[in-house]
Amino acid sequence: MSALLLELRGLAVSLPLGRRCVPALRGLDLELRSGERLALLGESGSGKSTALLAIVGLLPEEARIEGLRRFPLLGREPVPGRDLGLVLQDPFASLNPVLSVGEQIAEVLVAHRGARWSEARRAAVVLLERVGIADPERRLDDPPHRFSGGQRQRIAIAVAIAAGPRLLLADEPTSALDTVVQAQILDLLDGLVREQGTALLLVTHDLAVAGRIADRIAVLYAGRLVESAPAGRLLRTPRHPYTRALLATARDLERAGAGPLAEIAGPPPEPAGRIQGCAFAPRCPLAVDRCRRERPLWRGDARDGVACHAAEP
Amino acid sequence: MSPAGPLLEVEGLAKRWPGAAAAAVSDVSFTLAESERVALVGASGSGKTTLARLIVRLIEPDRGVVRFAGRDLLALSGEPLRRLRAGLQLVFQDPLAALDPRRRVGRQVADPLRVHGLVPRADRPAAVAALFARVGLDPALAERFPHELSGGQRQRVAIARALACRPRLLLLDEPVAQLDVSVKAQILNLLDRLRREEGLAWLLITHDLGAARAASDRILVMAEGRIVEEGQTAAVLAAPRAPATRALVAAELRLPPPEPAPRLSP
Amino acid sequence: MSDALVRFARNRAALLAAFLLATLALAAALAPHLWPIDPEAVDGPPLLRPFTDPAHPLGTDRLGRDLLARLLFGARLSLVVALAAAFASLLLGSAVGLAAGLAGGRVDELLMRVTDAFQTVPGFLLALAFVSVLGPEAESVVLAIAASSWTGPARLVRAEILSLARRDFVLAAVVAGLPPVEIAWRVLLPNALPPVLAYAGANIASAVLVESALSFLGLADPNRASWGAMIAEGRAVLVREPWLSILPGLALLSTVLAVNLVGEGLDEALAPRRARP
Repeated sequence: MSALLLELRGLAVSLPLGRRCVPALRGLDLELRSGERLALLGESGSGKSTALLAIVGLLPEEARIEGLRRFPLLGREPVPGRDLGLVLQDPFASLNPVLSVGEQIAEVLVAHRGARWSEARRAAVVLLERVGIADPERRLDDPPHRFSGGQRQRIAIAVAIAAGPRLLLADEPTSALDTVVQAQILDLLDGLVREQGTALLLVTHDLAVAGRIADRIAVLYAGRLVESAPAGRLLRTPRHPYTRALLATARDLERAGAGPLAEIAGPPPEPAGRIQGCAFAPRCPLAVDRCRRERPLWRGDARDGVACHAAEP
Repeated sequence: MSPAGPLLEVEGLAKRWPGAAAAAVSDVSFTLAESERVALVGASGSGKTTLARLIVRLIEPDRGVVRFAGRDLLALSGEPLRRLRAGLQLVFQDPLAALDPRRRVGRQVADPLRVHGLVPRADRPAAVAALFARVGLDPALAERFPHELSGGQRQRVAIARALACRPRLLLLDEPVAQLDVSVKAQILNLLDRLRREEGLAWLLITHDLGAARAASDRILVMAEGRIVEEGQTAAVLAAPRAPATRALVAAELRLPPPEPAPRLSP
Repeated sequence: MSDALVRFARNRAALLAAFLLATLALAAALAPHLWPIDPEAVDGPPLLRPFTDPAHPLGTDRLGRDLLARLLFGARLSLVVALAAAFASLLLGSAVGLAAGLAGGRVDELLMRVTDAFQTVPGFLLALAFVSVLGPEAESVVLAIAASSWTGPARLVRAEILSLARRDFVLAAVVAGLPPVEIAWRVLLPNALPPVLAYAGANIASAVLVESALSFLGLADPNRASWGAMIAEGRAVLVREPWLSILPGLALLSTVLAVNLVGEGLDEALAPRRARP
């Protein structure tokens, strides 16, 4: 197995909400190896974006953080831009509107690789071409608003990988884009991380996106990991009832048919306060008394396992 | 089709934004019958949102005719237009943007009731509570502000508001695009239930083929401002012919087929 | 509304400032009862130092008039004029901005050119000009200040209206069938006002200053006590008896500061909250 790039043990984060502090992440164990592609799958309130921000170190000051976060391969705190690249969801907000796209790519190289501006600009042209922007020489000096949403996301990816980081983190990079552009961006990401051997941590709520690009999928619910497995296996034989329910809905949407879509009963979990027993129990078709009293422990290892009284590891 | 003719008729609708190189919508014509569910799909920039806004006349077309329940929407103005609008409602894509951030959601749902004089003041709270219940929301949520609700709850509020005037036709602009998978299913199922209970027709605008499949019988495919293919949803998506349709279908990410699940025992 | 008040209350500075202003306003309103000395009466020895004689706790001015009484009555004038002027300015400005933003086209053009015309003349000079023409009475001062400061709110309101008119929730109101008047009144205005209200704080503060400046220059009513006039009177004896100017100056400073803090506090409290992602 390749070297261990990122390790999280018992990561718990509480975020301020009004006057209280609300738990967003309740104890996450995760590992990511060099060159590996992991999808963090979850819906709103699962804690997936919080986990990503915690990894990059971008949580607000008032956040309470516990647990362990290590980068064994680096041996030190990662430097965003150089060791970590970040691609965010909103292509219209993630680029600086007053700088040209060329400048934004080049400044990464100048800051993190000690390049001179002239070299950095040349490298930026190459990068723009690699991410699929036509006529890169001419467009180097264009400001972001001259580009479409899909193009901006490509540019954001270029900025993120410019310095050759070991880990690329992406938070719902295609949610704001239509399906055609989404497919293109995912193809681009796939190709890029393979070429450069970059590890990828992709946060998403879309199972098909996770299946398209990840080697491994980790499913989050109400701030905890409920299942983790190689992508193909998780999508074919999910073990946790929540994962099964998500897949059932996603499959219903794929087939043309009459009749209602598979639904998960009840409302999504509220973030506040203590949870007694399994967080999914109120909505789980298999829940029994034990599920409501006793929180299911993780069975398996850091890469492959499930937290459910009913499932087999 | 009902004996009175189609519910919505669009003929030769066109719109070019001033200064734009190409038309946003170009010679679009189609009809929609009572209780029919039609999906309008296309990539972003295909003109589908512009078309939706033209139909409800939030934007004025350059050319073309829009007839709703036999009446020419474009020939009306002022009071008669507002009254006709009651029958034709639009649900916007981003429910957070579509709700006034400063007013409680219950009041906003009550707006159409008040404006069209459908319900006397004393009965309005009960009517709002009934609307909330119909869309599966706890009536107590009527006192909340939009930012205090989840995405799914906000979209239900938007649907409740659209239903307040008992419309015959709903235009839904990407109603589930911003929602999680499980919430998406709940909203689509809700729409389905409402249709069965009230005989609603709708035009669902989306780039998501899954939503189109689940919530439409007929499909119109748009590209570059024109309708390039139409037909029964299942048939068109199974065997697309126009290049734009092919591109959409090819771009759809599919899950690997399931294997028989091991039995789970608690 | 109530949650806005709660948020306001959490802002310590703004809360303190609000208390200060409330106390000041109350004191000014109850002046004749609190300290029943005629501010114009020559009551004691001239240039009495403050804190020396309990009958005149803050001392007396060059003519022997009690300073505390003059400060309190001066507060009345300053506050009333400033509030009236700011209100008039906001009313006029909002009306113009609303009309321009909603009407668009030629009406907008016309109104904006008028606004430009008013803005080319420096505010204070305009107020000066008005007062010279209209006379020194309090009403004229109010009009003069309003005339010189309505352009700010006008542009603000117009900009807000223009950006709001495109927002989905306004379009949703149109689709729901709300008549245009209702949309303007119920949807647009409540959303357009908060930035204007925040500006109101600055507006009131500047009105207080302009009024003081006008009375400092001797252009306001000479028969009524006013902070600006008091500061002006103190100039002649500034070196020997500085408190004649300092006391009203401090009063002016704290009032303007308090108004600004309350205005900021209101702005933050009223801003609509963004939903969590």
